[in-house]
Amino acid sequence: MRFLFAITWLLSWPVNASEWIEDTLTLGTEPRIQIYGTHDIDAIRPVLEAFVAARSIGLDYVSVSSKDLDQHVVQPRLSPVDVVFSSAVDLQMKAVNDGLAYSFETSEDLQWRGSLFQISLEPIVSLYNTELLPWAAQVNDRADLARRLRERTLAMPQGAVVYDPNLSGLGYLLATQDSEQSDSFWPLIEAISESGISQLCCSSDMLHKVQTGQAALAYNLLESYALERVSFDPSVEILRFGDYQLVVPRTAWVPKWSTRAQDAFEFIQFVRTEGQIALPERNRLKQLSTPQLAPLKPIRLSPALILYLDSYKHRRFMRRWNAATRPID
Amino acid sequence: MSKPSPSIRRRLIGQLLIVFAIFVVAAYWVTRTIALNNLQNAQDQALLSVAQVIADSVVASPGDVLFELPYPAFDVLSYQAPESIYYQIKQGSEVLAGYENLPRIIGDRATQTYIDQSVRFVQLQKPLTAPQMPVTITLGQTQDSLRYTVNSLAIRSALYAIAGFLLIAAAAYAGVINSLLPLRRIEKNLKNRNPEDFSPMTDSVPREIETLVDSLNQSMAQHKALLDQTRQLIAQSTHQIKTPIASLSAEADLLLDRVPADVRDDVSNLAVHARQTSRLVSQLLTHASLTYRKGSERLRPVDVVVLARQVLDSFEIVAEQAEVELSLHGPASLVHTIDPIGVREALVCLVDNAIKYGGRLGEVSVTLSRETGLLIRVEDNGEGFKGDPEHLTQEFYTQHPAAGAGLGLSIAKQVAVAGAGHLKLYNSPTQGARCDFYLP
Repeated sequence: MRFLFAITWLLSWPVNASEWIEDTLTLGTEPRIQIYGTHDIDAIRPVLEAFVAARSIGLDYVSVSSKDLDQHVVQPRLSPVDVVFSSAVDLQMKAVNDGLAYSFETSEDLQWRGSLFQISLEPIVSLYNTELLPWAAQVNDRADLARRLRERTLAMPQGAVVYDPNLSGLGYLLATQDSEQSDSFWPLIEAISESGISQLCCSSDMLHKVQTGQAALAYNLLESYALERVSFDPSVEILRFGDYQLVVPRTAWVPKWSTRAQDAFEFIQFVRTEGQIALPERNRLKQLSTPQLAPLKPIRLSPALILYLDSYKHRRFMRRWNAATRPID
Repeated sequence: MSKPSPSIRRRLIGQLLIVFAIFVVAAYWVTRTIALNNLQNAQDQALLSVAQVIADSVVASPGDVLFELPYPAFDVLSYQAPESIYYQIKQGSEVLAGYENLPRIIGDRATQTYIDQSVRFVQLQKPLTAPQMPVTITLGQTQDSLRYTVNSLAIRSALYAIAGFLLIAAAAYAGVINSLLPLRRIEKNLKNRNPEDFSPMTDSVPREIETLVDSLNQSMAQHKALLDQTRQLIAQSTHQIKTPIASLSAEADLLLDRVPADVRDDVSNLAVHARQTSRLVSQLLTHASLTYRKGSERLRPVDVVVLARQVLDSFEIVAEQAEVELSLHGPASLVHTIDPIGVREALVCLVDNAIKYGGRLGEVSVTLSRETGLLIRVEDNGEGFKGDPEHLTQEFYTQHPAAGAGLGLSIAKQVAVAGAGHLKLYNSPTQGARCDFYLP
């Protein structure tokens, strides 16, 4: 019997090893729960290790991008999967709204319908090059930056970099949330565009451009990535706008087809409570209840999030975005 | 006695339970219906207003339809309750946005099952100028929290109903028990009453059963009067008859010596009958006098051994004639509180019976013993009782119509019962009849 399982496992391995899987981590003994997440393994490893040590439940962590997670795991209902763990809160909300998630009895905060649970927070910041943008520290908020750029009182040599919302799910989520959040978003994008704007797929490229002086500003980045650069490169600095600071929640849910739902729920509860200590301080859930320099605007777990996934709304938003970022002839 | 109808208490509880069940179910359903109606209305209004926002945003341009999917409005819906939302914007049969396969809605609102959940849908039509087809906006929201709220409200209301009803039921029950108390008292009074006690009941009773007590008292008074009359008649007539019968018996005895030999047998029979009649009359007198005496004044401590010895001595001559041997067993002295006259009469009757029916050359033994009370056992070694010995204690019942009137055992039993004891007649396992006269 065990032999048979081994063969099945060997046969299934090439499938699991598809190219969309970025990395895997195995902790603890069998039977292990299967966690698919967008977190880099290095970033999440302390939490996973703490869980295995505390609960004696083994786990496999598979790191994938949020789009691949939706396309290869959630939509085809890949099995076995016990936890789906992602920062793409819009895709997460859509999956739960469509009834794919297990529902647990709970009345805690920071969860939706006992199905979608906030695990950690990712504040969003901007990063600027101190040589190219020495005046950035005086910028109050988005409207202020837009006004300064438009009035050309100050220049932004080399322009700015942003996520390409066509390529990056996170970029699209941040841009749509910005557009709902503030009237100054579109003027800001238009003003930045006038100084030159490049749209990139990934945060590493954006960081690189600002560090090397190919761009003055990277708008909308995960704070944890930015902080890491700032710690060893004095030529870059973080910019937090005074009007609001978006916060993306990382969320997790248990697929209805999970065979280890209780253990999976245990994992989620652990990360939400004891496991928080293993996270960097700025990513802990309790950040929401501590006073901040800039007002945090966490993206609420709300089914309204699914609207921007609608192809109609997506089409209209991209039309607007393209119009705002079109290079001036 | 007729079969009793179900007890008042049980009937009350049964009726209460039925009303109770109806009451609780009604409370549950009424609350449920009202709450469901209200909350459903509120949800419908919220959904309809969002649908209206979308409908108002519809703009038709040649070959295209534009509209808004308002993020803040959807957000507001989710503020009210964490429910899933499904929507669809459709023109003709073409789905412009939203979920493709929503269930068909007839009318402007309906509850349907979608993705295994109960979902409330509302639907709006936005007409456009011809030839454009109208735009249909369908908006649905799950109702978990609504149902939860409705259920908990209904359950809470049912619980209140139960609590309130329990209070009422307890009050009603206590009321019934309380109003039955006087009846209980009367029942107890009647049960504990000495059979000879015909005094009226003096307990104070509620007006509702006053007439019942009055009729009872009246009926008892009538019984007593009737009984007294009858007894008096018996006593007087017996007394009147006693003397003539006694002289009749004596004269028959005298006559026996003087009549010619050919009628001597007849006269002898006459004498025997006269003697029997005389005896019957004296027993009747005893019976009457026993039942006539008052209860309280007859009890006192007596040495039963002395009493039994006296009774046996009085039978010495009779026993000698019948060639029966009498014996007394038991302790040298046995003091017990009894009615000495009654017990003496009872013992006389028992010993008389034993001598009479024990047969010639028999033995009659009287054994006294103290068990939980006083036990006097009279036994002979004759043929024993035939048939059911219980009949023998009825008045005028006898196995030997020639020998006695059948009053003896009845007297003995009456004495035993009057003293809260009993008389048991049975055949001894070895031989003969055995009478156990017991007084506590």
